Amino acid sequence: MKENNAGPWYLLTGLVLGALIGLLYAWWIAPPPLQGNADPASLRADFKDEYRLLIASAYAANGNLSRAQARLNLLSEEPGPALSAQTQRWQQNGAQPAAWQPLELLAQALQAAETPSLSAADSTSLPAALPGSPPPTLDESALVPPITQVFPSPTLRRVLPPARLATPLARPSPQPSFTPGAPFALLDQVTFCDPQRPAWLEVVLLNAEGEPAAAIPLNISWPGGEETFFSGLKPEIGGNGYADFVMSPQVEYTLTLSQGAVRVSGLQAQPCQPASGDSFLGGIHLEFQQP
Amino acid sequence: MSPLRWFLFLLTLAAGLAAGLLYGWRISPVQYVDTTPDSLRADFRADYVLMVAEIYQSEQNPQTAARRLAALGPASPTQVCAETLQFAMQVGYDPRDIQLLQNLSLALQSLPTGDQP
Repeated sequence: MKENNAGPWYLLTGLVLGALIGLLYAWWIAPPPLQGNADPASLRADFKDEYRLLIASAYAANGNLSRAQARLNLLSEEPGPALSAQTQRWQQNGAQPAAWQPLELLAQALQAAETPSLSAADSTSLPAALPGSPPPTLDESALVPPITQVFPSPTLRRVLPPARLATPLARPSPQPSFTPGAPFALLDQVTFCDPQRPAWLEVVLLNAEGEPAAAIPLNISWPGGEETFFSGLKPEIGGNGYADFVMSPQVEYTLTLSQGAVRVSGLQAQPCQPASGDSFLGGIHLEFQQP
Repeated sequence: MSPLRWFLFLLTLAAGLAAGLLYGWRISPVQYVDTTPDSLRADFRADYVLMVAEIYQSEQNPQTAARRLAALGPASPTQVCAETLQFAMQVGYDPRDIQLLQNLSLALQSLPTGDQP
């Protein structure tokens, strides 16, 4: 063949050939190393189960639903059905209740959190980051902290006061007695002085039958922050309708529940002066019931 | 072929090669499936350890925490936790989370060597 007749095809041939060699090298010969590149969604099924259990156990420990939800999203699946399916599977396989109860608790909390988000006009009943939060696939370019970046103000210590860290992992009843739609009414608000429970905000929720109401989201806000916690995480202390929160000194809090329909403001820990010893901050006890 | 044509051919070959590598490594890299926790990316790995630290804060059981961390590879749980703590401080984790990791790290250090998986 004469060179004059070759035309530009040899250029195209070079381009295609080079691309094929490049792909062959990148995909088969030297793909990116697996080590240190995997994401939770790529985990093997049994490791995904363990990962879900870890998320659920962490949620049972700190009550931070936003964080649990962000973590579940990393698995690229529908969190609710996945948790329920795993719970059923483990129950059928005869696993100990301690193994699947955190999963069940988290599934219930997700369900409880979804209900108000569909109908509530008041967005304060859920963490602001939930509906419009960026997909928690984390930053691909910079290795940033996954959760602290997405939800900048988790306050684990407020959920887990140091005085109770030694208490065993507690879970609410598997059957929460939440009656959707009926807002809670404040029955009682008292302050107390207990050096074992300084600056504690205790909340007790009862349903219309007077039974403890578990897995109810409670939103607490203060200047510059807010947090959602749930009733029923410490049944050994105050039953399935109990929840607590540790207040900071000289900070005024507002508690809202029932999709914002109930609001208690001006909550602030007041100093207590015992007959002997140093002064400490007192607590506040709130009791709510559905009508 | 003339030397010029050879040169142009090799030039386009190199361009195609670069494009192929770019696509295969960056744009559409190999997707791994059925991976294990020890292959998690550093940030996911750190969050895994943070979850263990959160649970530990409630359970106060360093043996169980060490067992959970064993899924992250052959390194000792103490080392895994220390590396995570370093990572967390480098990238600016919330101080409360760093405190949780420090608590776990201290608890793991107190474990007898034989108790670490």
